[in-house]
Amino acid sequence: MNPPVGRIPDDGPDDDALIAASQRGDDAAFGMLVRRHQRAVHRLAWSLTRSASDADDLTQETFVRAWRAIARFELGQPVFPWLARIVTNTAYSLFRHRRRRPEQSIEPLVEQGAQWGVDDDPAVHAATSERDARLRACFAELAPEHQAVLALRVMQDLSYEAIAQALGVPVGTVMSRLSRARAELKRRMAEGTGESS
Amino acid sequence: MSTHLTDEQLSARHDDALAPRARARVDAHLAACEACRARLAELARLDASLAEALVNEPGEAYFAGLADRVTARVAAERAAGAAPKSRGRGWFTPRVLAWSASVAVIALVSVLAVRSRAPRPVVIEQQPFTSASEPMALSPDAGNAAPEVRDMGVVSRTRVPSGPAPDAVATPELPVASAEPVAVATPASPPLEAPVAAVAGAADAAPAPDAPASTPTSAPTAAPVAEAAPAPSPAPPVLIGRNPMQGFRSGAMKGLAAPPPPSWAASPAPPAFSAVPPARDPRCGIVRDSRGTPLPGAQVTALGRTARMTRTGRDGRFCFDAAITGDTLVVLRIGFEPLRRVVALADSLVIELQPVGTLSPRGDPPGDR
Repeated sequence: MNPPVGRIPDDGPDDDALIAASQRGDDAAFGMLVRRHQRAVHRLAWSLTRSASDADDLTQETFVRAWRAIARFELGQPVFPWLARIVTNTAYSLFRHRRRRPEQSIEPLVEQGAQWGVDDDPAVHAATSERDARLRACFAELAPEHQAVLALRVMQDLSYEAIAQALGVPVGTVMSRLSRARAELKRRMAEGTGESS
Repeated sequence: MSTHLTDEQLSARHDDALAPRARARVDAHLAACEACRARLAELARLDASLAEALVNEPGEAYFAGLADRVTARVAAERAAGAAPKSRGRGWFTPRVLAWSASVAVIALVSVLAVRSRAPRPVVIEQQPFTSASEPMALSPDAGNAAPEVRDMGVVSRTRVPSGPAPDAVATPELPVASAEPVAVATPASPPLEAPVAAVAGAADAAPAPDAPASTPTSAPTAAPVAEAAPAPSPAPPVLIGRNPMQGFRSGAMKGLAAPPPPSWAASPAPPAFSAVPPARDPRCGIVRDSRGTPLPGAQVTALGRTARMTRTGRDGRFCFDAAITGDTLVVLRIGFEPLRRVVALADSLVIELQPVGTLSPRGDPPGDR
């Protein structure tokens, strides 16, 4: 399986060694594990929340919950699907707690504005920004399980098997959910632009 | 041409997740179907756009401190006593922990309530102990407790001793189980710390200079009582080992022995009644204040082999679904002193709570104001 997007390769101990050390109470090893996967976890968290503060909370909470449950982690298994499962479950709890899906926040737009290069064409940026905002809005209207499966596939490039592991569902369910999620996203985008699907 | 590819086939082909044979069939169709190729291309564009729309880079500064914030939280949890959960967590699920905590809180509150009003007797109305042989049992099979009640000289009509559990649970030959009741009813009961300390070996137990510490098996408290109410045995068996609340005091609490007997306790006990009403297991009762006003919403807990809890209704009444004879009843209500008592056979369970402060002239329960 490919490493998840955002995973920073390094020369340190492998994940199993870090997990084993963490299970023995080595906080430094756990910190190294956090540094290794923090970008991928944050990327997934932001995909599901589209809010900088929520993504930060979700990322931290994910690692703290991972620490609490690290004794139950089976060595030899890939780490990121396990972390992704914690991210999605925690995000589901967040959605349920709020009784609504997260609203579109201006934070991502502001943050993306900071990433624009000085040579970029403002007109292109405006069109791209409008399209991205609409996409995010349509994505936010999807069911949480559809958001999760799309984020894991599109943002993390995980295989179906890894997504199945992360979501705790069969591979066939991943396949059908992805198909339905994409079809639903396409339909909502077409409704927004007045196109017929 | 065959029918077009399904969304699921196209989605899986886009993700390169089809099995080889299925992929070969899909590719064969795509080679011949422009419409399906267009749908596949559109799907790829949608994915690419979504990946761009959902990308977010908070910056290096954010990630530089993230791991430290996480490890700080982990360290805080570890300092607070949390630890990574072990694999075998059968008995440590949140539900079990919550239940255990509830039971522990009930037990703690009960103990604290008893400690806060150590030697005060409980008033029982309407249903007196009418027989010298009527057992005041801590459990239905504790029939040997009957002489205990009588011999202690407790006023059988109005007063039943209540107090903290005795220490010497494992020493039935010692009279310490009747420590506090005896202290209430007898004029000159000796300090009880000595036998307690002797049993527990607690070095910090308060010494009793003039106490017969070397004669723990004697029953000096029974003598004056026996004059008032003849007893079949001068040193009756004690009520120990039946009630889960007994034996709770640790060695560190040994110094908190029963206070010296008050002077009024020296008065002789009235004679016992001779009429013997049919015994019955109490299940229902009423809680009211000192003016007789029923108290709704009081928490009533019966601590026996299991802990059962109920609350009083609007009329102050409460009921348990089974007999609670021998259980320790703990009654709590805001604005009133906690009350703890052992339920005896034929108890009327009319419980009178004393307000913490002073009742208002209108007689409204403080908790309702």
